[in-house]
Amino acid sequence: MSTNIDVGTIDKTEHYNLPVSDVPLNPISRKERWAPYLILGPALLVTGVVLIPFFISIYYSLTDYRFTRPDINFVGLQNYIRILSSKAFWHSVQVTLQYALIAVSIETLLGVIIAFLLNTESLMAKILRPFLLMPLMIAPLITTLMWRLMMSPDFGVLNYILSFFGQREFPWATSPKTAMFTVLLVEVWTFTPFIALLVLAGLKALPKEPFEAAQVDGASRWFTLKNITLPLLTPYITIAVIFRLIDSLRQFDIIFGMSKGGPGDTLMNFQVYGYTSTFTYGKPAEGLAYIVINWFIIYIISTYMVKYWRKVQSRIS
Amino acid sequence: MKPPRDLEELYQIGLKLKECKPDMIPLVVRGTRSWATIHPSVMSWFTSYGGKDFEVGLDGKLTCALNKNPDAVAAHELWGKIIREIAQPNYSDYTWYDVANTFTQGKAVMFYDADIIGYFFRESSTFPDDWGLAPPPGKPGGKPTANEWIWAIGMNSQSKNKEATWLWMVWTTTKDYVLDAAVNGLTVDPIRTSTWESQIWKDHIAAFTGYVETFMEIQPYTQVYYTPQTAFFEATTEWAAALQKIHAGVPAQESLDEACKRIDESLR
Repeated sequence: MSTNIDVGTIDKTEHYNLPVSDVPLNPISRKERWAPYLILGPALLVTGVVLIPFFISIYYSLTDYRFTRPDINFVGLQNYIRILSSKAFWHSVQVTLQYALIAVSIETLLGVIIAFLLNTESLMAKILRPFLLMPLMIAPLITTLMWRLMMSPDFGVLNYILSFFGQREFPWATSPKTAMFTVLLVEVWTFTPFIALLVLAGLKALPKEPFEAAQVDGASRWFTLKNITLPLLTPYITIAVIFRLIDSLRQFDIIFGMSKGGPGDTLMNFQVYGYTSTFTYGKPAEGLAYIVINWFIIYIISTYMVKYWRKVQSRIS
Repeated sequence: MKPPRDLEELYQIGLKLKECKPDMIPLVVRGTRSWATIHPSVMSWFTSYGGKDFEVGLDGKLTCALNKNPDAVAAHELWGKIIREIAQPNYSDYTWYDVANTFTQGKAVMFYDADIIGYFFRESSTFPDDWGLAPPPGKPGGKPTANEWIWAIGMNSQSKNKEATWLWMVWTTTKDYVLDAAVNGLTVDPIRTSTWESQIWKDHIAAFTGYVETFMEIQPYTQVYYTPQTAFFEATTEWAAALQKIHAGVPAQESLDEACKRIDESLR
């Protein structure tokens, strides 16, 4: 007997005469059976696409793969041991952390201040708000090249401006003393608006009741800022910091575009080392080991930051 | 002004130029953290001072020798002074293109680089009319050891069309083709003796002040001075990074010791 029976028209008493295997099941159940796969399918596909190169990278970092050799041999942790025991690695740890921490601190401070300044309905705030997006619309490498041109000692506008203050030939990224400052300047210019936008969105979304209550109680502006606005804003600031910290820890475009990691080794962070080892020295195994270590550091820091964000979120709610 | 014959003269002339031509950069050279910084200028004077990039150790393996020859290390120190005091202020930014552009724009008095700069840019309206070439300055009284950076054609052993490839290679190296490329194209430093003996070529190149004399003088001492080894890009990039440190004031010996340590590590 066929199972294609319209349940609605079945005389229920007939069921008692059917063999158990032929009893019609609820036709929705088949759809329900496939639904989880259909819902999760795209997510699984995306995860797969992300994870395949990741695991391939880990595999290659455990080999002696070089572009100049046709054969690839498994060498275990040899690349990692060599990297961890080199002076260059610890220098790159210092550069990576220094860059990320200073950049994110300044961007957060400036981003929050700008967000507060633009969180008004004044004409100036309305005009300036769309301009906030401008640095984010330009690719960081293009931004870096723009800044490089502005810093040129021959025709750069920045040195021209500085000449009014007696500084004719500021070395920018060409001196180890000023190279970090220079790339941080570009980084802060490019990404401060990102934090400002997130914080501004947070400010717009804050509940009005606590502020009204504070006003009724006669609380001062400082008291309101310190005890109501900033605590309520902390989850938004934390999220912005997490995004920026992850991005700054894997910074490449600005540093490479500005000086290829130089002068000397001044700006050689993980990503620049990884790129240089892979594409300049033709040693992808070593380059990928650098990148995997970089990933691990970012993973640890971002996991901790996300936990902190959850704690803050639950405390506020 | 006479072209400098050695690094010390180059430095002294640069200082004088700074005084009498304050609006111009006395010397432009490459300086980026790249292998390309090394081959035109650095490898030439380094060799002239008796330096070798690698030597064979007691164990029969190659070891970095950039830091071994005291004369060559002292030359690095002098080069540091040159690039700090008479070269472009943004030394570590300069690639071949920047050297060529700055000279072509008439902003620099001298360049220490490949002769193709004159070849490629001479059509530019701002390119100096009264320019000329001279042998690369090196050790006082030393030989003009120009490091050769050669572009060549070759055939892969895996080539599927060996005969056609071979015929093409034969054609592009014929006497007629090389002469035509040298006179009508932008092929610099023709490799055939017949071209050098040709009156057409001699007439064509006569406009390039000092070119023929320089070519003839440096020819016996010109070769690829790099030691063939697998870590070429790593060694030369580390060397360029060491030069950037020297430019920043780090002692030459210290910078080269550090570079050699890394280069030796990469060869292991």
